[in-house]
Amino acid sequence: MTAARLERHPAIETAWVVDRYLLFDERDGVVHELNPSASAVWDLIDGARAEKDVIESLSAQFGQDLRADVQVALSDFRTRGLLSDDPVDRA
Amino acid sequence: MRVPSIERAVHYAGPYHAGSAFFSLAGDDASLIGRIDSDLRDLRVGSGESVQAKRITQLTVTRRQPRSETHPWDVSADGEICQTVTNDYVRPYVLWEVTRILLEADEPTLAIHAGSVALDGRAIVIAGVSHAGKSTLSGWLVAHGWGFLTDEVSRLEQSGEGWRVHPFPRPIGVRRPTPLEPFVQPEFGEATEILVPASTLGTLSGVADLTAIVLPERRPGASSTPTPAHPATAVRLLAEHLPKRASDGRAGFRTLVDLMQSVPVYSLHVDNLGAAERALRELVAGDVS
Repeated sequence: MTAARLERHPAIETAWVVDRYLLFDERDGVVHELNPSASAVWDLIDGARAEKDVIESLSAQFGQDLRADVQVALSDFRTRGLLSDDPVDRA
Repeated sequence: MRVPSIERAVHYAGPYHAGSAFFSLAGDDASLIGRIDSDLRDLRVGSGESVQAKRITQLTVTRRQPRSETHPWDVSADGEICQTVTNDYVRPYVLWEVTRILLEADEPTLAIHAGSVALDGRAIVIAGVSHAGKSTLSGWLVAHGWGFLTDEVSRLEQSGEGWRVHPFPRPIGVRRPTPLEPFVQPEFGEATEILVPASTLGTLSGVADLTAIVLPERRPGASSTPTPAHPATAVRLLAEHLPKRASDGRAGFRTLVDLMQSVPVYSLHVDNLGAAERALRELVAGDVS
């Protein structure tokens, strides 16, 4: 079985402001403002975790199944080009 | 590359400030050079100020040869043509070139697309999306006793724990009809889009300490009371209009985040400009938490 690890795109600069992340994309100068929920997902994207790890971690933290919410957030990140092409962990 | 016919440019004006940079004006039409000089009156270098040994960009406005009915003017900078423009656009275009000179001056300031005014040395930056009413609010405040810093490019410098705002008193672009109508001098005629030097509305301000950032928005029926805004939203709004964002890159973003986390940010839904002015007066006096 293969698991795609999630990794932030290297062109993205991240800043924490009060309760959420701001992401600056140096490719086009656009700033993306994440809401607190999306920020919780972004926080766990560290190049080591796969999608299932993020879902399990946040679901355990908040005591409910957050699979759909995490998938929506990740889809949005991909649409905006905030993630690197998923590196494949074949270990 | 075409070069302008500067040998016919016999009318001169200036020098002027564009932030820490300097420029002067020349052209072959005395009337047009006179009108542009009038537009730029608040940027003129003071009589006691020396510009010797300073680099001065030469802006030249010459009648195009052969003559053109639709685009009669060549605007050049230091001998190189920047743009060929219409009669209606020549003065706004020169103003755009002046802003470019400022932004290319490589100042140690953060330039943001926003207006700024000050009261008793305490400045507010008026920022936000296009057509939010920044210029109208800035002009209204100046007409009611505030000092003008800029309506277009706010030059912010970090100073100790705080920030200071440096002036760039370009003329205010006014689109008629406007609430500023009672304060516009007859000299500006009846044109629908005019450039109004702030000194014809009120006074100019020197460098001032930044007290708050205000995000205005026209909203009928609103109370015109400032309410705290999320600094992240302010960063996003301002980043969309950061004049130098491409060159400032990550460092510019970081500086913008630092700014928004160290200065209070307010939303201001404006219906009545008079009420907004009174509310902002209380804000800079420290009467709004």
